[in-house]
Amino acid sequence: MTYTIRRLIVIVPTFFLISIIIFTLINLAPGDPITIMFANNPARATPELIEKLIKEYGLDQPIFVQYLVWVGKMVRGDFGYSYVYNKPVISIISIRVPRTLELMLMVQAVSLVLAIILGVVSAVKQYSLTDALAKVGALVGYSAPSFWLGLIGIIVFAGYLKWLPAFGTQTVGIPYPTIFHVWFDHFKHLFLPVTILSFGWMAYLLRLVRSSMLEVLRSDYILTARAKGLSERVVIYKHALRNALLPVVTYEGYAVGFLLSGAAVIESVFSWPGLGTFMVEAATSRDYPTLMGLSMIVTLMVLISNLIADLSYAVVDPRIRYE
Amino acid sequence: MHETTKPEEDTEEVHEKSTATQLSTVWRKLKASKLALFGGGIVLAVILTAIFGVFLTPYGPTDLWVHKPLSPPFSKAILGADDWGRDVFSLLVLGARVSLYVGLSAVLLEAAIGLSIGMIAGYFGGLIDEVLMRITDVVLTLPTLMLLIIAVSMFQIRGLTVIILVSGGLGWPFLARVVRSEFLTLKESTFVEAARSVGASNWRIILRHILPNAMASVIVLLTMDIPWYIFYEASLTFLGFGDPTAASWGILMEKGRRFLSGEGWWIATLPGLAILITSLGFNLFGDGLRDALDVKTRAR
Repeated sequence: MTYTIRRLIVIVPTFFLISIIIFTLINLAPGDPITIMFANNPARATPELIEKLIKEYGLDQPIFVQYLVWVGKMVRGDFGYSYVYNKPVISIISIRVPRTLELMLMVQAVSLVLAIILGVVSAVKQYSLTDALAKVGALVGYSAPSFWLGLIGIIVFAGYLKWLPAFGTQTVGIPYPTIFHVWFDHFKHLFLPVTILSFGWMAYLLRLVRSSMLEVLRSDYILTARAKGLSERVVIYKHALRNALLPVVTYEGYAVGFLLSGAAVIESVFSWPGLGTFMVEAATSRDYPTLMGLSMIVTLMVLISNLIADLSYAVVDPRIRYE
Repeated sequence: MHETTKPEEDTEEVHEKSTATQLSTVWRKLKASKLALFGGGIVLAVILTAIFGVFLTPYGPTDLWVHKPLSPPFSKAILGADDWGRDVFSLLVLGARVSLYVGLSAVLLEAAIGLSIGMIAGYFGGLIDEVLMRITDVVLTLPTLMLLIIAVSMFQIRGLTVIILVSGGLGWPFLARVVRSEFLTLKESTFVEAARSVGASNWRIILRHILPNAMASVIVLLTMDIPWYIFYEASLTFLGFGDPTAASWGILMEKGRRFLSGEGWWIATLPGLAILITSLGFNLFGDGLRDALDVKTRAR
């Protein structure tokens, strides 16, 4: 319990550290935000309007005052105003976050299940055909750029075979007789991005499960379990797998970082309206308030998922007693 | 005086010899693994292509309309042509140089930052270690590619240098952690104590005594990080944050995005294949090196 509280307290300075870094980075950027606002039609930028906007955004204040104002607003849930979208950043993010979470949760589920099954099989039957295939698959999985796999997927399954849609979350302009048709259509849109992102993430988890399973299978307590006359099934799934999965739980701490990075490219390959595409759009139009708000939301997501990984590690490994 | 210098020379010689035997053991183990040799072969081929490719390509990146636009592979153009009639084969060969340049420069930057932070944190420990590792953990868990997108978009100039600086400047945390943990164990060993007892300075101990012993894991890690930087460059370029003037694989893929259905599928897919082969080479070679050098740490 005290451990939980201590971990929660550590999050606060980390969050502020990152907020300072991001604020400094964005303020170091060449070109002031007002000029960028009018980049598309400089004619509108009358001196009076510029004056008014500088006042409105507090750009005439000293830099640390600007920072405090920004952080103060953020704590109250105001993540800034996007002048490119002409909407509060939080209102766009709240639409985009569920889309990305949906993608990430599916990828997590698919890659975890497949990695555990394949990892156990290839460790138990080392040097078998399954082991060799899993090895090659994993090797290609982390050597292939995900956006390239995405393009191949589009060419083959959307362009050539016409089985799956190439972009978006839902086909527009077709009749949906029942809600199940809507779901099925959505599932078809999810299929390619989820498969491709899972492939990359699974490759890492698979290697991890395999090597940690091999290590556990060599340990003395497995020998004891076998000597007791337990069935191979119980030995592998009850005694070995439980312990072999410990490093996987630690590794899950990196999952959000990895998957969000992957989402940035994969979402834009499949025009999936999530956080990744939003970030690319905001970066392309140099929409700084949005980028700042978005970075802080992403940071928050990463910190929370790390906390969950840390805490669940303490739960699954009873040997760990944090003092 | 002579008598005291002599044994020192002897130990030096023994040390040299052991390095030589170590190297030959590594080479023998590396040779035994077919996959590692295969990977090494790919790496060598990519390096040679990057160096000598310019002399081999029939056309340059600015040679427009040398083929009929969008002519397919295995026609007059071996690997097809893009919509401006440029020779895709030539562009692929020239792209090797850009990718390798980015990969190697970024890895060098990563090594500089990661080694310094890891060495200082592991050797000195205490509050410095605490602070440095907190920062490292934060950078490690943030989504690198998203940070890269933000950082690169803030520069008004789009160029390879920006990508190298930003990706190498963000890619060091894992290395720093590995180096730190190596230093934590090595600094307790007898040879460090011996060096300290004869009055060697901290920096001499760090650089001459501990670092060489930590080098094996560092080399493996850096080898397997090169493909990551190649990915990052290609991804950023593909998303439109790259150097539009460089003849890189990423640029070709970005261009090829418009030709996914029907004519021109080769423009985007072939450079991706080149990236896959290159990174497969580095990964296989790195895996083999890990086994040969007997390194326990896992690359990310």
